[in-house]
Amino acid sequence: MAAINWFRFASPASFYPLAGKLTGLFGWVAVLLAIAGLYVGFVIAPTDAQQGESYRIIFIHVPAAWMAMFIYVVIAFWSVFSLALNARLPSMMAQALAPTGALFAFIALWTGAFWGRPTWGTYWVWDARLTSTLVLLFLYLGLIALRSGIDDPRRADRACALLALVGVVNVPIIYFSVRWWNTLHQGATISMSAAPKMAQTMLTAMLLMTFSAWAYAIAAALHRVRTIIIEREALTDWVGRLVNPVQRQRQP
Amino acid sequence: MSAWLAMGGHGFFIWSSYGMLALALIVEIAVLRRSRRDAAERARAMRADLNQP
Amino acid sequence: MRPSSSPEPASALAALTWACSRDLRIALRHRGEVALVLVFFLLVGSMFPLAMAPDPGLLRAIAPGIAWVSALLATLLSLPRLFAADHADGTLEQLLLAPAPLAALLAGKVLAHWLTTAAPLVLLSGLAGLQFDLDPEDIAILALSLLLGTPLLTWLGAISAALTLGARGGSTLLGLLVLPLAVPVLIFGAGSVEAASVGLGAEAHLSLLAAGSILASMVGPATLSLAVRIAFE
Repeated sequence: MAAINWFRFASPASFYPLAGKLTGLFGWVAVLLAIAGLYVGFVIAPTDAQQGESYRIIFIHVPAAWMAMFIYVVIAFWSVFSLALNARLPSMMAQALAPTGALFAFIALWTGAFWGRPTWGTYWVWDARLTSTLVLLFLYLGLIALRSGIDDPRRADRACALLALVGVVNVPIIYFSVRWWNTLHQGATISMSAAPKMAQTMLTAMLLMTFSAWAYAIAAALHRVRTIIIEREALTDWVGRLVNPVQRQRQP
Repeated sequence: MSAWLAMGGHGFFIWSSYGMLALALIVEIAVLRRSRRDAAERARAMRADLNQP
Repeated sequence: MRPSSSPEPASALAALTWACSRDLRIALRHRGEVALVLVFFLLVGSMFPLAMAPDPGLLRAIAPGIAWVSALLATLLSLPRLFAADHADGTLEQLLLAPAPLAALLAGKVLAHWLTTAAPLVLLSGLAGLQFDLDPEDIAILALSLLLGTPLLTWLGAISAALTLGARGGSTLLGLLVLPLAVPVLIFGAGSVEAASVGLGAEAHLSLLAAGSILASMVGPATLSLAVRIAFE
């Protein structure tokens, strides 16, 4: 493992084919894990005594919420490299991850609402985790909006990197402040963290789905980064060979 | 089968959740593929404009 | 002997004082622009009772939240003023090249901005409190929370304003960036008044706001310098 020179993949040109192979791999891993997770979750896991069948939504709600948070941290991680090394590929990875992170945040909110309705009577409960996820969604949208608002790609890279770092520092603060606000105003009765006391099968299903979501996120981001690479390296020779594969070398 | 689909009365909520997820994934994957094709197209056009093979 | 062609680099304090006094002088010349922000603050606050039944009990309960949201929006609207003029006439670029610590120059600008925007808001919050029939003690806590929380807000806003320099989307983009980051300040700011009014004491909230503002003032200048440099690549 140590013998592999990872920096060989630091250029978009050499990363492109690697990303292509990995996309397919992670895509299949995601599908298989999802099948396993859903099987355990729907066929093996029992009906919950209090929540009936509706608890099965957590098999996608919790993974989505975790991934929304995790992807933002990964974006911050790439942003550090982007600023410190002034390199393009980390910025491209950050750019590629944002839409998928936003999607997971949205799914977490939607599934949270549809879990809340049968369980606690309302679609939106302003609980700490859901509200923080809402703010997280806005942070993602801010990243995406800033990216599209700045025309120069390298400037956009660095501006978004700084924004992501300011954001990641704020995310725990936002979470704790919202939790404070929530416990002050609602007491502990409604809390989406109080998932049903989890049978082992429920936990297994949730873990499988979380890893599936993780694999999917990697696959989607790698696919997206290949598109970004094509866009930004459009005038290089290797992209020329890529998009115009039938060019023959002219013999003098 | 329909009893399973009804999910003890909670079918609407469960399937709305999973349905939205499925929709979101389909949309994301479709957008991913389309933007990749568009990017290649644009690259080709840009290179043709600049007379680069 | 080295020929000295460039002036002596200024000390941080000198740079800060210079930038602050310059911006204050400019703001004094454009008093209307400054007043506009304050009028907006009162205007937004007045919208809420108009939009609902002006039940005194209800208004008193929501007053801290409304005052804080209005302050947030007013600060947001004033942010472009921080860099727009200097960016347009090239002064900002000169600041980047000046033989003075950029962080200190920018800190001076932010200080001037706070003095001309947030500080008056603190005073005006008394008026807002009266509109909503808040007790004098609660009005005092409201003013104090704004005093302690607005520095943090100003730093968050300044960094966001620098990042959006020259970006499309204008103030709306700026709002999308600032408001989520401002959520904790909002929660603790409005929460402090609420805590005081039910007798729980606002010390915890106020201390957190103060800590946040102090922290922001320590890391703000360097972060803002980076943001401004990024805007000029």
